[in-house]
Amino acid sequence: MNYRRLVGLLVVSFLGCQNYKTVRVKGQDGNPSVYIDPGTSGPNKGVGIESQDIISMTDRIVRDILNQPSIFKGQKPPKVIVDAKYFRNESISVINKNIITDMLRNHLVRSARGRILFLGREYVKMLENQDGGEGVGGKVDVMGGVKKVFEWDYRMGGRITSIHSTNPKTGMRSTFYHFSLELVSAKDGVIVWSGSYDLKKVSREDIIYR
Amino acid sequence: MFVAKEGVVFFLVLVFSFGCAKDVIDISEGPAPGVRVRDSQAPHARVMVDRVVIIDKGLQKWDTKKVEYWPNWLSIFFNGYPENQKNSKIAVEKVGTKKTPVGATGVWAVFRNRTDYPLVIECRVQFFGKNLEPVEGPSAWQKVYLPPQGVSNYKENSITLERIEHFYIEVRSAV
Repeated sequence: MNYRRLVGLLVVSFLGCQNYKTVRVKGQDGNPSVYIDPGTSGPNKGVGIESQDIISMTDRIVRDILNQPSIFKGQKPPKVIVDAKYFRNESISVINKNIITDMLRNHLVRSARGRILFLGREYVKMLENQDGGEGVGGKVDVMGGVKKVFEWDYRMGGRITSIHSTNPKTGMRSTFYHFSLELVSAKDGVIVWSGSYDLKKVSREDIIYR
Repeated sequence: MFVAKEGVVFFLVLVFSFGCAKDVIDISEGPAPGVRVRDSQAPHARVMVDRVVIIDKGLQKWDTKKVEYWPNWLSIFFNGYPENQKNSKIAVEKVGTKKTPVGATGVWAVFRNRTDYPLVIECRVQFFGKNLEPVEGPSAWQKVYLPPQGVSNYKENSITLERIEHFYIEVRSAV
């Protein structure tokens, strides 16, 4: 009889229970935020140099420098200056050069972990003023000591150049940027590392950069 | 007798059915624990190390007419297992790692543009240790330019010299 039918129905009802329904995650936004990822282009998409370009470029250059064996040839960690003094902006885009060199230096200092030493040439006045009683510098020849402290092995230089074109009929703008960065040896002026980063942007938007 | 048995069966089915239909009570007190998601319907939802993953739905799917000359399951007899059933715009042809001269780890991936249009994609990599602990943060997104039907590659080196066992490359469309 119908015990088979009974067992069958029970099995079916059990199977029905086990057949759960998966609730899918809906790809909906969360709460609106004023913050956006600086590594991603925002709503203003122009042809100028933007945060995502600088972040991509500095990250690429830092990884390149730290994987460059010619910099680590000596027994001692090399002393390097990374600042904007010899970094020129010859492009059409308005940009504070320090944002690039500061990001590079910060990233390098954190990542190098003593493999490279970075000199704070910007803070030379800080060391010179130590004889005011704040530090230990007053005990010795301050200027001579400072000069010795700031002896460097390599210094970063470079420039940003660009080619810009505009179609007056359509208003379409196109800009090609070339970032060139180099490390120059203090001994003989030899370029021990050279890196470049290219990007080309096309847009009709008339974004103002400051 | 038969009626009684049928009645018992229907009663039991009814009981099981009620047992299945549980009310969902929303308990809003307390934080929700962060948990890993295991879902048989989404087997690729977990972190797949040592692979390239395409996180952009726009790149994963490519709306075009799919021409099939035989049932899809038969393709295992012709060309191993069917590959890339999702009509992705890009194909990941090769992926690998290497040691750099200073002892860091480098990863590389070769992409092929399957479309007749230029594509710009962005890639980043994360490095993990033996126990899948993150060794360093994700790299910045780097653009890879793919000409129509063309091949290009992505290369990135780790910053740290620590022992790296695994990597995870993410790909998205450049915006």
